[in-house]
Amino acid sequence: MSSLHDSVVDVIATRFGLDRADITAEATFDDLGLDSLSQIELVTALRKRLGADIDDEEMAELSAVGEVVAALESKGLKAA
Amino acid sequence: MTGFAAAITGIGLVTPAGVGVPDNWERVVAGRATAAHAPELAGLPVPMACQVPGFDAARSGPRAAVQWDRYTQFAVVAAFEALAQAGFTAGEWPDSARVAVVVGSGAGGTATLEAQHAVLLAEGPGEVSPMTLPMGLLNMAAGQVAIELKANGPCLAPCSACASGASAIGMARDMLRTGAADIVVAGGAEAPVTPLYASAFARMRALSRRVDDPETASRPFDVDRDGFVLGEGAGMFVMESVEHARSRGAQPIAKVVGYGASADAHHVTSPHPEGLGARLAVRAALADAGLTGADVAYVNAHGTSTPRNDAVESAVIRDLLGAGAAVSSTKGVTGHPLGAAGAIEAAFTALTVQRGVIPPTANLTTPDPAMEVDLVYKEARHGRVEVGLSNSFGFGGQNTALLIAA
Repeated sequence: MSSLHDSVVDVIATRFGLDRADITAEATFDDLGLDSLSQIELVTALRKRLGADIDDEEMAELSAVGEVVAALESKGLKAA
Repeated sequence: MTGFAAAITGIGLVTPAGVGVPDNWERVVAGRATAAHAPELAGLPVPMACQVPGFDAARSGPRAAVQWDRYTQFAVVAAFEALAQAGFTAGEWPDSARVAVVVGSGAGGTATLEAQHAVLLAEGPGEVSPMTLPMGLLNMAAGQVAIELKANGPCLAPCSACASGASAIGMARDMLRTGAADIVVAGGAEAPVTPLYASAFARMRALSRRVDDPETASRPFDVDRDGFVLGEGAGMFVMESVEHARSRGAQPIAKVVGYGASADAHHVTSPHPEGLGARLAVRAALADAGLTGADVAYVNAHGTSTPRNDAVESAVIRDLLGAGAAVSSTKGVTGHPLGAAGAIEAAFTALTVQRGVIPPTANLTTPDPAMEVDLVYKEARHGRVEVGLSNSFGFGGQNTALLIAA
């Protein structure tokens, strides 16, 4: 796994009080219990913690942790 | 006694006196105060409060710690304690549509709202959390309790400021009486130890200024009382009709046998000088129960430790119940948990009725000579209490009286 993946996992685990082991690349927002409001919170957390340039609409198109990492990578984001 | 009796079959308590009924009862019967310096309020005019000791925000799960306001965390923990005692399991209801939830609050998720308002001002609207309202609204403790319990019946959040928790219990009894529900999980929850609430109450001069000796600050009915101490917590009942409890073999802890409510229609914060609304509420509760003042052996007073409340309330008690009723205020221990107070104190009243022990008024060393009632202080008093009265009076002049019997 990329170090960016680890950074994203860290942001999700910290923000939502989740166990890191559950936050795999394949885990979907549904699997993690992250509803649409939580996804908006995730956008804010990624921006604040990693400087990620992703907005609410882009996040709404994604459904799994690996997709979030890929989207951030495609924007040229490196690990924190 | 001719009124409708609603059986209390479970009690849950989260208060500055502890988490759970056993710790709470031990501490209020011992009359050990809880007020202390509050680090959250450092730099404010009154940096003290009564706070729930050792509360684990993640007790209801890791998400609860970050996505529920503290007042909701209290409500859910208290609800599960009450549920377990009543012998119910969340989600395993005969008919979930017949299970109602009524949780009152005065301030709702004020800590969340205050924090997010600070974000709005400092960082702009784009940074405000989308969880602001799901965490901050005043009905969210009720909503979250219903979610956790999988209760599909009516779900309400009455607000009558510091009478909210008592209003919830009165409304719950009405729902059982009218047949709107078979089981009601009812109470109050509050977490107002925040900079805005502490500052606002201080500006009203409602708070005790004994900041150098916090432990003695909440001293209801004492000649040297000078205001209340901010508290927090939740109290929750499982209530059902006596027949419903009997049919499933559940033993009532006590019964809510009378409920009276009124408005002073006088002033937003100051009680009516003759306690008009308080009188009306107590009279209405007595009439509802089919009892007279002489039947009431114990009053768990609203007893906030403010000069005005305690003077007016003691005069009302003396006039309506005579000199025979023992009177104490558990706020000497817990401080004032605002909208949770009525439910927490109804729980203490139920335990007094069940166990025949009247908790003393903590910090009451020299009774105000103007208080012509039988105050219980220094130590608990033992003896049978057939009927107890729990008073709750809120800003807005909103008053509630609950009669609780064995």
